[in-house]
Amino acid sequence: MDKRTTVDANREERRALIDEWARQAQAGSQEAFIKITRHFERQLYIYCYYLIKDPEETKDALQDIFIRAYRNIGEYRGASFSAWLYRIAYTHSMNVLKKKKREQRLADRYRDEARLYTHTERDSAVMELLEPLTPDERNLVLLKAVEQYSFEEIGQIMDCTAVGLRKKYERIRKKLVQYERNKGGAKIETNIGSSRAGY
Amino acid sequence: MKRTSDPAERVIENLEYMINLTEVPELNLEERIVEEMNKTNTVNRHRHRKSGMMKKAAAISGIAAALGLGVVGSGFVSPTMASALSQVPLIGNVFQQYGDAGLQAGVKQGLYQPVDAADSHGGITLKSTGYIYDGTRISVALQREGKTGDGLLGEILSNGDRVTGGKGVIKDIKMLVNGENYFVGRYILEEGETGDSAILNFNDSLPFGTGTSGHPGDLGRPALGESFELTLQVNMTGGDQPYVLKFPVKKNTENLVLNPQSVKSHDGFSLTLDKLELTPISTRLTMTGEGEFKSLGEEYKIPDKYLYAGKHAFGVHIFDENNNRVDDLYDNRMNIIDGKYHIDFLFTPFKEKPKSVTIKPYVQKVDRTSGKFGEKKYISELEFKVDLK
Repeated sequence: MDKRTTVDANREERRALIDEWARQAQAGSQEAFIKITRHFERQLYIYCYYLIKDPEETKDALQDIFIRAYRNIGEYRGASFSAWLYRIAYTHSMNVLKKKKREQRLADRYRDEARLYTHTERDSAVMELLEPLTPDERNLVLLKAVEQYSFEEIGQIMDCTAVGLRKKYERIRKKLVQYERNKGGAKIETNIGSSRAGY
Repeated sequence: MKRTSDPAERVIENLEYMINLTEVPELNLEERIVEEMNKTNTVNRHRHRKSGMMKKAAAISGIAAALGLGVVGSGFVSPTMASALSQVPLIGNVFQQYGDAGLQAGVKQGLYQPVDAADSHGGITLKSTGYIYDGTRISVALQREGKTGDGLLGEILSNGDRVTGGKGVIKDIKMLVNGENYFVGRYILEEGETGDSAILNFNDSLPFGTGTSGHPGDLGRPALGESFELTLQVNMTGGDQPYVLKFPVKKNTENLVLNPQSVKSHDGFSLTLDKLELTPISTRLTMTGEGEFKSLGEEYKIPDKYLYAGKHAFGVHIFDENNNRVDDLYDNRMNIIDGKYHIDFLFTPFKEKPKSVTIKPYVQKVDRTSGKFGEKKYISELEFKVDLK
């Protein structure tokens, strides 16, 4: 049996479970919302981290996202809680990013080197590859990577059709290949090799 | 990972693979979120200045409660305090203009107590300039100095949600009472006029969720009492250490405290009126309910799988003799502890001392699917009328 099929089957169960937690949280169950938090925190961290690119601000953002979801849970209409949560996360991350850019412009004037963040070699390689992508394209890659969402599911989050997203994904492929060729390209393979050593 | 000979596919698959290998730091979200969840939504209540004259404080002082009720205090405001009306510091205006009805009344009645607590680092000073405390609820005036360009509470959205980016924006506040962590359940922040001032409100009523598994309030949560030393540890954006404000707090109100211990029963349910406390800045009601209504339909019960499932959604309204109702100070929510209903609700104060108070309990319909509350049904057999003449 293909591994992907097993994941899909589990995902249906997981989705039903998450939706049940969401219903309980809507009725005021804090325990249910904590389960939601536990379930999503890792994936959401990675997702927001590559949008915001600052680990400390990502931690703060994550807290704000869950609080915002909790406070507005009455507005969730039961289609896909996960899609609803990622929409909040994306909007919030974009707001953080906008604010950060405004601050950075100011900081650049004074060459505030202390505000530069350090990332692991692997994280830096990922960020470098995400760099040439537009925010929408980056969102698509991250949702696919972090949650293994189908194009249909990503469509619910990004308000696009699955067909449009498939085309966009193809364009991203080509863009990344071109980017790698222009850069000389071996870096990503090197990183994969080193990251796998521990597995 | 699946390998292909297509270099384009390999790049994107490798990228996705590496994204999933990202190290996630220790987030400690659960504790932070539980704490946040217990707060009411941050309130952005821009209030209109009061147009009418407040009733003179002296007019409601010195009035004794009667009819066998255990009276501890005797009126809302002491004459001494009333005489201090003309000495209210200007800074008290943050309460007067932006506080709730209780705080506005409190300032008028000279209950504002100035303090001088401050902490500075990173180019920002955070001060507490004063407070009002009635033995139940405390409201603290906060003032920030230092240019940041961001509001002390960040950007408050129309739904009460906050965006806390930038510098010098309050992220969260931890309270310590006499040096010990104090679980307040929730706290309310209200924005002042300039963006550099805010009001912090909290109280010692029973936090929602008390009695449920793992609730932080169950570890022991004493009443705030007559006086205590308050420490606020305020975390702000752009800083890596909290601003610490420490000052002594003393109750300076004379409250009307009634401990009737009267019991009413109806349809298998009994309700005890434990305590009613009227202060110049709040009305606090404590009741205990036991049993279940035999004839009430399932539509009045909290549905399965929700917190307090199978129990009735129970609430209380309080009226004076002219049918004026006091509002919920915050979002009042009952607790179920060891199967009993625990009502510990806070309301706004009565504008003037009532001659009598009527406590009207009600149950509420709950939608089975959404869990949302619907129509209220008063249970007249469980009403309490308390004479205060």
